[in-house]
Amino acid sequence: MGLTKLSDYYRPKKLTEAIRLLKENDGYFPIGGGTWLIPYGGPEVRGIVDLSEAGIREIRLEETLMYIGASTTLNDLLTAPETSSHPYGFIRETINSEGSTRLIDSVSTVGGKIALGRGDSSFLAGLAAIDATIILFGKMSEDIKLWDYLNDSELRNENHIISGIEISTPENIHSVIFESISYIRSSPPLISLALYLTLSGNLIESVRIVFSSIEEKLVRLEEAETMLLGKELNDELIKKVSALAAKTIEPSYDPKGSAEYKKAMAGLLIERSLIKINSNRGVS
Amino acid sequence: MKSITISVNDKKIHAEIPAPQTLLDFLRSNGIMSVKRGCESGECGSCAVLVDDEPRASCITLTLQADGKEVKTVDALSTRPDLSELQKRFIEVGAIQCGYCTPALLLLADHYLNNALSPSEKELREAISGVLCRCTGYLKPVEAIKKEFKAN
Repeated sequence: MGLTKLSDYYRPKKLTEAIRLLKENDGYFPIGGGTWLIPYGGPEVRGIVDLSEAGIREIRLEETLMYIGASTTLNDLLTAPETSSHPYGFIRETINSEGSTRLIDSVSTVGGKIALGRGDSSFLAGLAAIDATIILFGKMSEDIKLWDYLNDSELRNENHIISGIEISTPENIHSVIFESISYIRSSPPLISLALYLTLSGNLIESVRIVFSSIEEKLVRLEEAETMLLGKELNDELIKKVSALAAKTIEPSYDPKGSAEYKKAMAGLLIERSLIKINSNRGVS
Repeated sequence: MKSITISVNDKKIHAEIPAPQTLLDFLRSNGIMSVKRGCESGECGSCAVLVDDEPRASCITLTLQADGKEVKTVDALSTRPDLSELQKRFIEVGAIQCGYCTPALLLLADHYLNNALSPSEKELREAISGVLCRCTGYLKPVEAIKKEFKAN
């Protein structure tokens, strides 16, 4: 394997130029840092369009909305003051749980992570839980929810560029919780959970529950979300949701952790998170 | 073939290179042997360099990505035969065993010390976490780096 057929490389300064190159040339691929394509790409790669200087490396906070350009590196996010506290502190937690190193984090980009769409990405699980919106460049419909994008294989195969993401946080946001289980802190998680929740009074107004490291894709527990909606958290409800999570998920083969173990841990992580929320200690 | 110009340790190199060439191969073919070949997939970090002052694994960086940029390797830390203070600390503490990862550890530690506002052991360990060291268990290198930031 390897990039044996690579002959062209461009580092455009504008996204319009980048999208033109991708549309006019078969076998051209965009890269952020290239941490996946360069070691694992094959002879299908004839040209590389490097987006590192296309003006999309920025983090911007506007009231209750955060914009993150696609060429922003994970290290940028780890060190940015914007991600130091609630409600965006979960971003750092999820990146720290990716199991990568600072050497890779200084090159890995937000756009690259989304384009790969791996099911073992804690970072993506966090973004999906908080319902991030992706901004696409080169498509008629330019904005799409991350969750919908990750599950639309047809769209993902079309020529476009992820130019950034937007995270909107309503004022009544109560919790963004991230929980994971790893052998050691620096290893990728055996299973992780990102849970986002808003309250109206004491009642749950909206909730999203996303697991990573279960299957090839991220797993969202919509049945459990429905069970929680409109209700007040109590011990009985927490037990029910926890049992449902353990019953619902169907982990793929993973030599690091059996399916039975992961099912049990899924229930435990949900229970732990909801107990934190219930005792009002869950604000991250 | 592609024409490139890269500043390596403040020395400009013009070259014609094949597009798939990695920065690791480019540097080693230009005599910079301190950049070590390890896993070639970005996992071990023994090939770490700085590109425009940002750490990168040169084995998963195309030479073309560094075109027009400044690349620094451990060789930039001192002028031979002199050693930098950090290099001296490594020797003093006994932080070098097989030595394969040492250039990368030194480079990333130096980069961390130059950029950290208030160095801490936790941050330091994270900064060098991309370099696998199977000899020292990181105890001695961390001790050497801590001695250096305490001294300054």
